[in-house]
Amino acid sequence: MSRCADWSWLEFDKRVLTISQILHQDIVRFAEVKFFFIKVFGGVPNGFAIVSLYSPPNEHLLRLSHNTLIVCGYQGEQDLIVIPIESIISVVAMIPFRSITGSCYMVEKIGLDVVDTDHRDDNDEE
Amino acid sequence: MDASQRTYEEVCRNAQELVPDLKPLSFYQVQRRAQDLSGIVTWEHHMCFKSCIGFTGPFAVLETCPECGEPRYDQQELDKSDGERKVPQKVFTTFPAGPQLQARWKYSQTAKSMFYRWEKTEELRRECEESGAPPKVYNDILSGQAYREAADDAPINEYDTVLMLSVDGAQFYKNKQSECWIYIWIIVDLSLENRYKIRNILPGGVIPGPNSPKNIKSFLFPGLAHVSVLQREGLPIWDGFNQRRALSFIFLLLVLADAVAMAELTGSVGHHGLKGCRLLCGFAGRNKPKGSHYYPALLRPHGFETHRTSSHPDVDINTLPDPDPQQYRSDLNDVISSRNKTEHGRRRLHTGICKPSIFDGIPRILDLPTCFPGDLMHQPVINLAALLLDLWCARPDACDADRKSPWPWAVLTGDVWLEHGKVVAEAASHLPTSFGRQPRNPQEKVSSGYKAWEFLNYLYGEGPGVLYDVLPAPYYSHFCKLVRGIRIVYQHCISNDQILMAHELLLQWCLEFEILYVQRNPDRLHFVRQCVHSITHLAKETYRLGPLSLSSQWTMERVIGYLGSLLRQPSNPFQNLAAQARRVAHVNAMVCMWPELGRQEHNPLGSMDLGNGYLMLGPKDTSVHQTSLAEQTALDDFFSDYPDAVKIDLHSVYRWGRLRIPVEQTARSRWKEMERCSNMARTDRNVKVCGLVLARV
Repeated sequence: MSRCADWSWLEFDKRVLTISQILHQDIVRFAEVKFFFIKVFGGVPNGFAIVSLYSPPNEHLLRLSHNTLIVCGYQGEQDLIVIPIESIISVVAMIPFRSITGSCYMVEKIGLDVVDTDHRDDNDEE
Repeated sequence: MDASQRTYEEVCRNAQELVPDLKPLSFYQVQRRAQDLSGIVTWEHHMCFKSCIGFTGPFAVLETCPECGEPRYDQQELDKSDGERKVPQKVFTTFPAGPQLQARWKYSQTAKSMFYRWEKTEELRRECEESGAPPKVYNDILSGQAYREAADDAPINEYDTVLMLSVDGAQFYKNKQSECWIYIWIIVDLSLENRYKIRNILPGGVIPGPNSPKNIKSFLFPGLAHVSVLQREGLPIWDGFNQRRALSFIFLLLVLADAVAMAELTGSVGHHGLKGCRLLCGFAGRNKPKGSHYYPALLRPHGFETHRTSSHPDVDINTLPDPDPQQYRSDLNDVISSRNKTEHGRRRLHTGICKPSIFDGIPRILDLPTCFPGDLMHQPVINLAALLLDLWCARPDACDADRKSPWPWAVLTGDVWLEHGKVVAEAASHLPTSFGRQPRNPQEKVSSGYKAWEFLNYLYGEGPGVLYDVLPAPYYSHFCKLVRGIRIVYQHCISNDQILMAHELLLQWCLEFEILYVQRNPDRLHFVRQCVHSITHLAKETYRLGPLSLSSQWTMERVIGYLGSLLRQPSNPFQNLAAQARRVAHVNAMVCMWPELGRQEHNPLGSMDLGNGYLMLGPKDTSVHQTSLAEQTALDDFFSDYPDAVKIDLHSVYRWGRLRIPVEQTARSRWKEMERCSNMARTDRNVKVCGLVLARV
């Protein structure tokens, strides 16, 4: 799904990074949120999260399962990074994968928000 | 507004004690006032006591039910009064769509929301003219080919209203005869965020049970006749946004129902016929020798070379027919012009049509049979899941006569099945709350009211994970193709490339299903149920109608759930249901005219709106968080190149616990979820991230 996150405030930052460091863009990754926080720049509050990145998916299992079995390793405190909240696309499930200890497989929400599961609607509208 | 009559009366009494001069309206008076203010009318028509037919249309003059002979009127009353007093035994309720639609135009802001379809249509027209190709991304019914063509051809103008009709039966009490049929109108003119909300659904009618109607058409007749008149003459509206009068011509885009009701509405033979596809695509199935049930198998089973009706050679899956309005028209004419019963029987078999559809009488509708879409809930989820489990568990329903042949796929038996059930239920506890219903242990619960959402999360969510190393390799890989295809067609935003990919995967799955499971064995022909064939249509239907979840029965399920939660009188659920549906119609209309009556949405206390649909939610640290070394390093890394770095006090971080994101999910954090420290709690702290600038590799 495509959304337009407002990157304008990061533009300058990116240019600095391209010179000095390797840049990976538009790679989908999965992460566990440790906590969120807010920093104010120029009077505007910006949201961030400290997350623990899961390792990239196991290529072998991906191929074998027609891209449906996405198994990633949990890295805990090993790979903590800060991300802007605009990079968060959705909430996913990371379910312990029994065949490889210490790893999880990713499940995304099926279907859409407008049709169902928005239980707020059923219970406390009116 | 959901409170009971008694609550209302008590509130009135309390208010009166405080303010003695207050003269509140009685409950009855409030109801009357609501009806007057909203302008919503309710029609009651007589019906057969056993729910066979409604006394409408050609049945309007009858005094007994043509199906069961049950008298229309209460015989005691009739006898007592010497045939003077004609009290119907039972009535059903219709809520005409016209006044409900008029209410939506009166107030300026609500009227504005009715223009979404027109704005989107104009936008799509510009896009298609510029690129000379269909839209690249399908994110609404409006981007589907069917609507875009109808908008030009019908034509569908600015003030016109596009509706979808959804019909379904519902059972409100477990283990109790309480089946009831409901139909609703969905307004396609509204934007996606609004279209499927209870507040914007128009109740169409309530048909009481406990038997299911034999002739559903006679119950839809009053509501449809009303719409058909509005389609011819136009519905006068007052456009509160532009402050002008206008005429709105309704266009009925789609009719949604489950397979059984659909066969009745389309006038087709149903799923076991030679041409039993619910889309009336005309694909011919095969029957077992001496069997009257046809199965939509592509491959000719061994020994069928001389079969009387099913000897046709293998069918190339890439040449499957599509529903064709012209073919339908000529087939229907054939069937109607049959001279006798034998001829009708023969033509019915070969066309798959047994009678004209009631929707033939609707002047503004997509060409029949293209107004009857495939369904994303029953066939690909419930029915297909049942089939796969029948096979994997080697259930007796699925077993073939030839018991000697091996079933390499039948792995979910005995202890493995027991273990698998536990694994599924355990995995479900890791699903975030926004994922809908958690699948229960299938080994225990699958045969007792396992819900569609449970099947969806079980097979198409957890499936590849919980079946890995359980299903044998070729069967696992085959199953994954289905999962991939279904996951794509369930998306609410699908690109052209994805539709093509899903199409390829789903066609492969269907063909390989016959190769891997049926193996041309005539005794296994019954594996090829209609739900297998229905998979072949999903991608093409997406191209035609946009994401199919937008025209699925999920909305109806929710309306049924909502009405069910309002029921207050278990002793007389049917009458109560009609009353609740009427109240929904009244309240919906009044909220449109006076939006201040509706519930106002406020952001929760202590939250912070960060724009673009992101909302930071508590709990929040009250004092500065002591960052760990790893956290401090991450902060240093991220902000080191930041131009304003000097101004940031990196050491003062106040933690927040939750974040609402634009897709209406709420992400939580390890910080707060660990504190709750319950193993049963669902985990909402994992997120998918994109566009990261990863400084470290």
